[in-house]
Amino acid sequence: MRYSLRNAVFVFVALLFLTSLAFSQSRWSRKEQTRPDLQLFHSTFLINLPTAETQQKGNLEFEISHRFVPPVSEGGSALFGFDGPVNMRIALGYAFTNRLIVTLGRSNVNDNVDLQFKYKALQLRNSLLPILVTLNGGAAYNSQLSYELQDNNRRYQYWGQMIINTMIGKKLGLGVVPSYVHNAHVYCEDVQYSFTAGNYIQYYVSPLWSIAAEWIPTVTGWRQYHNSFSFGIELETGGHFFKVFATNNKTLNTTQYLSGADLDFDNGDWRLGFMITRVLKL
Amino acid sequence: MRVILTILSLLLVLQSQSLPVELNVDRSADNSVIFISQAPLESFEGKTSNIDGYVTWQGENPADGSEFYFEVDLASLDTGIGLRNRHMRDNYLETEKYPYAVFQGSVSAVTESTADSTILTAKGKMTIHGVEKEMEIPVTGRIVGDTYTATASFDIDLNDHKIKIPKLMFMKISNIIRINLLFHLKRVE
Repeated sequence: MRYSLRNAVFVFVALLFLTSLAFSQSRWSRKEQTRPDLQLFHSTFLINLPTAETQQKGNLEFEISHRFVPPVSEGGSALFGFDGPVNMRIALGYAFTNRLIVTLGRSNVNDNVDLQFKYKALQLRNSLLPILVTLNGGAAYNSQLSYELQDNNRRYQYWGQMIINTMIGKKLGLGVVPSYVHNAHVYCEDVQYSFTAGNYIQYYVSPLWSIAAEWIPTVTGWRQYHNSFSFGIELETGGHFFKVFATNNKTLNTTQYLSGADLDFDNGDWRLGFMITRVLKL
Repeated sequence: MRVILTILSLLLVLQSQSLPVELNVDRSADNSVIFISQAPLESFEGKTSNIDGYVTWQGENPADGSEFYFEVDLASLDTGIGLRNRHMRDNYLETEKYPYAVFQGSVSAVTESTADSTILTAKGKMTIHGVEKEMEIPVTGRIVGDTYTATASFDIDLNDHKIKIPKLMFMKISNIIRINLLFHLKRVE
């Protein structure tokens, strides 16, 4: 009798001991991890063409850009273009959400004022080739023209772009931007359209700087003399992006640069330009 | 027989006296992790509510056989400017490689205990950016109903965790970062 009771006691105490051990393991476990929106290129513009990036909700983006009209080939007397004249653009964008930014901009070329809506529509995460698709569209008004127009409605131009971006590794960004402009040439008797298939590449050498090149061939529709080609360097600091580049296109607003360039890049006729964008919070 | 039974029931009572207490962070509560950077040209802060973890101890005294583990999801930190958040995630903290800041260790002492609050010393390893450092952090604990609230305020030196701020930014980002924590825990039965 004593023998079996002693066993029972041992078993009981052992059980108590074991259950107390089980309790000393914490019952905590990790919940879901945060995943910020997919971001590929670092800035919102390549050179002329936009990238698929937007800004964080509540942030503002300020832009100022120049194109030095005289080509570099004009030499020292024109200070390689810096003497001017200068075509410029100034713009301010506001991010209503993390995916939608609305920008009001103005260029001194025809005093073109434009309002654009940029929406990050699709994020496809993939370890090899992540893809972003952003839609960009807007309207422009040419307030100061050199010649009178029969119909003042022709002062309005409209556009739509689909920006498709991917990034190979963390350093090589590629983009394709099929774009459509309605009323590409305001002086033409009939309303013209332009359909272009812009594409670009950007290589991030370090967190500080990168090199970029962009080509905007016109697929169908109206085009000025030549397809646009640009290449340059981008510097990224806390809050600013500085771009310095060479381009054969002297216009800056979307309905204008998408209509083609006036100079022949292959002939060495290109001019210098820069773009500064700054991200702000009120 | 009766003697054995009384011994057994005594053992049982003693066991329940030293049953472990476990508190888990209440994710549904208003938790906040705030870091503050004060540099000559610019001051800014970053916030997240994404703190998680647990603390356990035996019996009544939190310093008794205790263990804690807390983590903060660094990719969720928001400084108010998207571009700055991105630089922080991609360039400085490298959150893809080191997604969490972790503090784990044990409660080494319970100092000052008043009617409504207790100060505990949390001693352990703080691991950020993959680099750990021994730290002792005083934490103030309060109990309101069945909710435990912990607050703490301490400094982190980015150099201790090999977090490199580029020279271009040194006037805008401080190496010494103040961390302010306020989070709530619930007891787990």
